[in-house]
Amino acid sequence: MKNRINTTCFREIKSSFKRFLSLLVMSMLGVGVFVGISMAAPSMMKSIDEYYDDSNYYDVKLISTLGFSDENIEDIKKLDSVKEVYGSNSKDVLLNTGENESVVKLIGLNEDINMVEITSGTKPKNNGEIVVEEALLKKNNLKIGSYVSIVNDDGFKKTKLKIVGTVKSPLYINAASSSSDRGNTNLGTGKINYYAYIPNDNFNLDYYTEAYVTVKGAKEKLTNSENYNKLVDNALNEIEDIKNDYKNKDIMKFIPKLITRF
Amino acid sequence: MAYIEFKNVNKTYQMGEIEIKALNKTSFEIEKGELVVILGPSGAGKTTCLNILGGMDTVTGGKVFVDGKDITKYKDKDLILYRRNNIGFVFQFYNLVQNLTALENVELAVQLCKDHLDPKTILNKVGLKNRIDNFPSQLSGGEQQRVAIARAIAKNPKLLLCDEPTGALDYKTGKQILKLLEETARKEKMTVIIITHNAAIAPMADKIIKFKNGSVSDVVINKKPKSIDEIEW
Repeated sequence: MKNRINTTCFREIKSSFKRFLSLLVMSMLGVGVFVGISMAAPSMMKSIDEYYDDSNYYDVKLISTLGFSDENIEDIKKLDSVKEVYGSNSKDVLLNTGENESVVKLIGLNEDINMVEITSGTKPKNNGEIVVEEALLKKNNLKIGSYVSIVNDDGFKKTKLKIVGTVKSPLYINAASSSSDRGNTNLGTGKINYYAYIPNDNFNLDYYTEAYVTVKGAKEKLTNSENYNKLVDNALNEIEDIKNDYKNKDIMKFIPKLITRF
Repeated sequence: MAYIEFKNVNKTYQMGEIEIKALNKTSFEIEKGELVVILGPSGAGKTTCLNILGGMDTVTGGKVFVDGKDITKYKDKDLILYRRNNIGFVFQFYNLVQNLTALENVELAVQLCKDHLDPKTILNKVGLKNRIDNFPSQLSGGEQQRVAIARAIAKNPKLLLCDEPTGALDYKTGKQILKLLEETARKEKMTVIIITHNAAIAPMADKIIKFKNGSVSDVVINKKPKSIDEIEW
């Protein structure tokens, strides 16, 4: 036998179809708004996690006033919770861009950690080349092929550099927004204006200025979730333990070098 | 024990601090297959009593037994099954589904029961053979009430409860409806309870229960009930 409850239901819809349709559309809008709002935060978290995973972004950054030697890197690598350690070089310099001088953070190009995206042009192939962020080109009327030079710094093998490409770095994900901050320095006005990448070889250093650590099991977790934070805190504790050893040992190694530099 | 037994039933409505007693220690008994008429002035508690009997309302005190079972102890789910399988209700204002035809209205009631009668046959029986595909808005008052009665009877219930079935009808149509109810009671041997405030039809019933102020004031048993054709008012 036909279900008469369905019959009366369909007839009622048919007889006032426009009203039914408008109520349906209103409900859909309401549901859509609610779903959109609920998904906004998880979506954002997932986006950043994917980006960081794709560029192998670091979990812990270590900086030291004395820098890191290969030995230090090995010691940190031996810790249980550490997956990999990468030594990196960076320095703030005054860069002459033709019309004016800007404070630029120069970072050594590394293919494995905090991987960058070359948005136009090519990677620097030798010490005479540099890739810069878009903003540097735009605000200084430069283009790929222009030359810039490092002012008053003997920490580099080559100081006159040719711009061969533009770069996007995961270390500065909001570089494109007008309110973004690239950090502070003790050069110039105290604010860093741009970042740029050069080959590691161009740095005149025999130590690393910072070390980037990836934590075991952290890549699989969602960045900034509770589980992720727990893992990283674990790693931090282990690193804190060996930090105290260094305070005494390395000073003796570096003092001769400090004297020669000055 | 009688087929239907009302024992000291109380029904009180609480409106803030005021208590309204719809039924106050109501008690009566009805045997199987009886045609009962419940008389009383308006506000006496007749409809409340029928609603409780039909499982559409709960009591605040007392017990009600139907066919040996205590329906005051029924929870929601049990009441639903009780209403579906055992009760046929005819309302004063028909309550038909406006966008279903007469036949579909009866089919709607029938699809809930296991042990039902054929909708078309019943509609023929109530005299609506030519009106089965008309919507309620296309039927007259008497015809609509007949569809409502067909809907109630087709369920093949234990109890047929009628709340002022002729209240909205004229003398002639009302008489026709009552004749139909009388036939159902006598021929199908169904227990039929009719509420009315028209005392003139009392002689057709086997038992007359008189309500006053929320309780039973009198019960009259008719050894020789008259047929409705013989009654004029």
